[in-house]
Amino acid sequence: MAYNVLIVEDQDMPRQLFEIHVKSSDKFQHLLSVSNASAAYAVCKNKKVDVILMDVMTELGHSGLDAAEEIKKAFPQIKIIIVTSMPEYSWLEQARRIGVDSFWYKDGQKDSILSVMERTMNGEHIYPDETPLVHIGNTTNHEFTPRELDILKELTTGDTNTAIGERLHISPGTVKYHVQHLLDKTGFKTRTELVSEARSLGIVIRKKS
Amino acid sequence: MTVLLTSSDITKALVGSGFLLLFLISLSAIVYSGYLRKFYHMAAEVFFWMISFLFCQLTEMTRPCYINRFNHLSLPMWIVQRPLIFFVLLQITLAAGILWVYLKLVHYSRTHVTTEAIKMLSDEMHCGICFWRKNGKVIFSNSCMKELCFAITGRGLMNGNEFKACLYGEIIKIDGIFWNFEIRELEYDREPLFEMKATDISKEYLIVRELEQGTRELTKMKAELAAYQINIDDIVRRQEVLQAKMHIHDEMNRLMLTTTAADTADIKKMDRIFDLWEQNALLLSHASEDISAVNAVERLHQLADALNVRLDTRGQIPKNISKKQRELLFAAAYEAIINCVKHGEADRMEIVFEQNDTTVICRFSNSGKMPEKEVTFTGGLANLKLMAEEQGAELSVQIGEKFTLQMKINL
Repeated sequence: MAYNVLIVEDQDMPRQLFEIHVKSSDKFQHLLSVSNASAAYAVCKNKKVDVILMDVMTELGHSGLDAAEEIKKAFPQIKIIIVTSMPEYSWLEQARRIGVDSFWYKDGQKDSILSVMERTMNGEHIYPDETPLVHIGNTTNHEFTPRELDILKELTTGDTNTAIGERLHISPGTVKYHVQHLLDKTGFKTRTELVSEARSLGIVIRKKS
Repeated sequence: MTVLLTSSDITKALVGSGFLLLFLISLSAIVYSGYLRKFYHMAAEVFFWMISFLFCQLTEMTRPCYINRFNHLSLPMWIVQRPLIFFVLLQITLAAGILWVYLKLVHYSRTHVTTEAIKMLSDEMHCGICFWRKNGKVIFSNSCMKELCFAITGRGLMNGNEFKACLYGEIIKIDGIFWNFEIRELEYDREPLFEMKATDISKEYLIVRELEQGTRELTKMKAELAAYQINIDDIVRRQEVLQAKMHIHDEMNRLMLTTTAADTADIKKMDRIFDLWEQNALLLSHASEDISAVNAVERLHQLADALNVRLDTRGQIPKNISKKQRELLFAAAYEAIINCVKHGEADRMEIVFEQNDTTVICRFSNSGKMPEKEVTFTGGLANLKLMAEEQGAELSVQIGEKFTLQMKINL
């Protein structure tokens, strides 16, 4: 019997790619596609869903990770595969903590999505070792320390060093120190340039409140 | 027997009457000062009263009938023969007594808090204070409050209730100074007593205004930042779409190579190649707007079916709106369906489209559970509202018989 697949993806192109892949397989059948992660829970309540292909950033800022956490609590038997092309540094860790079954990057993956889906349904947990390598300025995202990535994410709010320090429980001087390190590594002249580039490359994405 | 009045008798009578009049006036003044509790005035008036009494008696005493009266009294002879000495001594004694009383009063005022002291100090305060009874009668007010009353009402502070009614706000600007008026009710002698305080808050008020201005600017910057984030998301999504298209093009290139190298006799393999060509062609064709729009309608209905929500549509999806505005409408529709199930627990949603030359209005209504608290735009609704504002549209919620989410797009 084929597994029912729910696709949560707001972009037409990737969504249709997934639909085509799912329809091309005998083991899976396409149940529904939604563009908004907040719809996923309601669909799981009303329909029998076996596996979800969940994008992280969906329509209107609804987070796929939040939806995955909600669904995993209510329906632990449903397999969830996070699919994204963003090399955001914190999503891998967050997905593991939530209990997401597998994590798949849309670009540059050696395994196809169907292969990942089959292995996940067989009980495997497929996670990449690290986020995709992205060049930013004179360096890559793999050269940043975890604290530098935390600060880089906070910089996207536009807040002052003092406000960032309060949120991360460090002094403004320490924030300034890390920012300077980031600028030195990337070769950017200003923090605005740094933030703009980091955000557009998807290295850090702050959750919309 | 006729009594002839001499000129000296008349003079004495007139002078005596004058001093008698002074005597009576001083006595009245003493009583009045006592009533007003002006003890210093009282002491001076007592002195003048005694002087007038003295001269009144001196004038009388030179009359022979006066001496005869004294003869009938059992007074010492020196008093009768030298009445002036007696009255001078009496006057000195009284003056000494008055002086003693005066010094006592001065000492008292220096060692105790008197009403005068309270009044004097309150007049020096740079804030206004007054008290009045329930009927409006003012029982105490300082000079600052009197000046404020005159500045606001144009009249003196006579009635507290009338003054209170003239206050048009808690903070009033008078001559460039911001005054904060606070009124509270007290109890005194088991009767209500009203207190009004006026404080100069100019410094604090200006600081608050500056802070408010700063907050407004920060809020604007934050909104701009949020809009920037949305733009970035949009750009990133477009990049993703471009990458997907590039991926498809790469696939098609590989497919072309595979097709040219394939053995046409192998039917199964050729069928597979044709399927792949079909899939890729389908993907590329779905990039067009019209098909994307049709898909959006289909997906909306599929979602409604999956959530067991019946959609009733009135009117047509407007054709003369841009692609972004259409995406906005569909985003609102999805959000409305999800919320009607999640919060309203409804199984039916009505979508109404209305259009005129300048606006397009779309209403999503359900008759599910009404919200218990005021609806605030958070999460998806907040982002939808922001998206709407970017497109020059308005998103609002109406609660009546039904819960309605309304999107108004200006053309």
